[in-house]
Amino acid sequence: MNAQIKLEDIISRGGNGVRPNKLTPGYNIMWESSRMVLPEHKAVLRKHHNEQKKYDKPVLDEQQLVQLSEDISFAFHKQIGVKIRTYHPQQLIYYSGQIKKVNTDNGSIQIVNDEEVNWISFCDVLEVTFF
Amino acid sequence: MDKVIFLVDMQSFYASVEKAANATLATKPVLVSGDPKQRSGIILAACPIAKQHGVKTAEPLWEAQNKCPEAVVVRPRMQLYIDVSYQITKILEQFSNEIEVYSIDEQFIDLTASQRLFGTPAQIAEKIQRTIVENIGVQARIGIGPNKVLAKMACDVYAKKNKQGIFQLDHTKLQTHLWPLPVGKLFGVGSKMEKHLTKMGLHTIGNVANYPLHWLKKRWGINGEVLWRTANGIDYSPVTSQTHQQQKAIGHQMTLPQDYYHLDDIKVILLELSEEVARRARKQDYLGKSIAVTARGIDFDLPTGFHRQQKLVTETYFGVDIYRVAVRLFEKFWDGLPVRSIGITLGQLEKADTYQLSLFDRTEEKENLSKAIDRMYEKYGPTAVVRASSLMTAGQVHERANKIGGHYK
Repeated sequence: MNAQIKLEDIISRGGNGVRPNKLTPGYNIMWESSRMVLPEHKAVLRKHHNEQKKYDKPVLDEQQLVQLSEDISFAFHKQIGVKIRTYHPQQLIYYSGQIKKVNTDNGSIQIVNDEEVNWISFCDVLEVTFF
Repeated sequence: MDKVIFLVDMQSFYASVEKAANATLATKPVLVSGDPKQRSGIILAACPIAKQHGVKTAEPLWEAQNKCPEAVVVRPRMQLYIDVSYQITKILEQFSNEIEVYSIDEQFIDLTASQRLFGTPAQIAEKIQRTIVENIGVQARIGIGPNKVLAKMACDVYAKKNKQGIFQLDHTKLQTHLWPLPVGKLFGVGSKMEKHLTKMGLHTIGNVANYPLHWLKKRWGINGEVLWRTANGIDYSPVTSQTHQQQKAIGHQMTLPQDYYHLDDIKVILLELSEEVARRARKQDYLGKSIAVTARGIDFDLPTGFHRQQKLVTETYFGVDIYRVAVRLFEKFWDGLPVRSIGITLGQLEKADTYQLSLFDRTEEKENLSKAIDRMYEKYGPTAVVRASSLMTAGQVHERANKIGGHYK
């Protein structure tokens, strides 16, 4: 019980300090001051972290949209294999295969390869490349 | 609810990576050691077989070879170890996104929110061990606790010693499993601190835990309280992957291949270090407002040297600015005794996009010059353009370009 009282005492003091120190809850100073990470290692971790940063959906202009829909209908009618990049806030996602169906009602396309069948919404398409 | 935090530690990491990379080494004792001709000829890692012969980490190579003459000695490959460590980080990310890299072979992971997906802490620990062994070929030891400090001690004191390589330490086990241990086992207590504590009659971790806090604080201030908390298993710090994001200082330190006696030679090193620090600052878009210089003498038992810092009038990321201050500090505070290692740190960093223009400095010219050199550096490597002074015998630029952390890449 004694430890309990001391513990609360510590929390209240630690939180009020102007400059955080090794005792301030929520900060990581105790560990940051004792660790040993090579700058080259840090750089790798920082890069990893930044790659995971969310990015906003790019805004495509009219010409780009026209180009995309032309590419898709061309690939659909000729049944050419395509690789389609779609929007995701953190990852680069590509679908590859042939466009088997185009649903104009809800604006989606079906892309099929040996392993899977996927429906992609047309508004998520960012890039189309032909094989 | 209590948190579930792991410290995942890789057994004899460098040696294990070398063994995993080369199957012919699997059954042999393996030592990873720096170059004995240079100053880095110490054991960086010894595999469990070599350790059975009594080899210890950080002892000189010749001593280890006396104990275990049949051992295979390999040079460290630092870039490889960084890459493997990063692979392990990515494996851990399959279990939780709260990961904090503590060193090249130790990582904290917060699994509080992952238990419904992966099971009890013990089950998750086994699963992590298995995944790492299957993918990397390295044995992991895992300390489990309700916070980082208990996870760390669970790993260091128990998981590294038991067969399974897993141990859970929580507050119910404090009195039975932590307090009876000698005070030297307490996280944060080095050999000097151990001496002080035993002199005060504090021989076990339990002694520290139950010693009046205000006396520890009176003697050591904040660090005294940190010790007391650690002994009581208290730690409020989060597991945070953000921890490597913001930079407080950019520094470079170098142990010289031989002792330097003359200021002229030392200046060559100072310029090289200044340029390197400046380049890294520019790359990350930081300006620094204080410069610190460290020099260490050659005798470990009789430490000489100095550590001094100076504030600048305007912040900078140019090598020459840093160099000028560094030389001034050196001239002022160096005792003239031979120097074994030198370091320069640029501190009080600020993001470069908001900086104030100096009225008296011709920044633009320097800016353009630095940009041009940085571009060459990016394209052709760190030795594409070097100062003429680096071509003198004192220069270390070419040697350094092949190294990470003082060892060859």
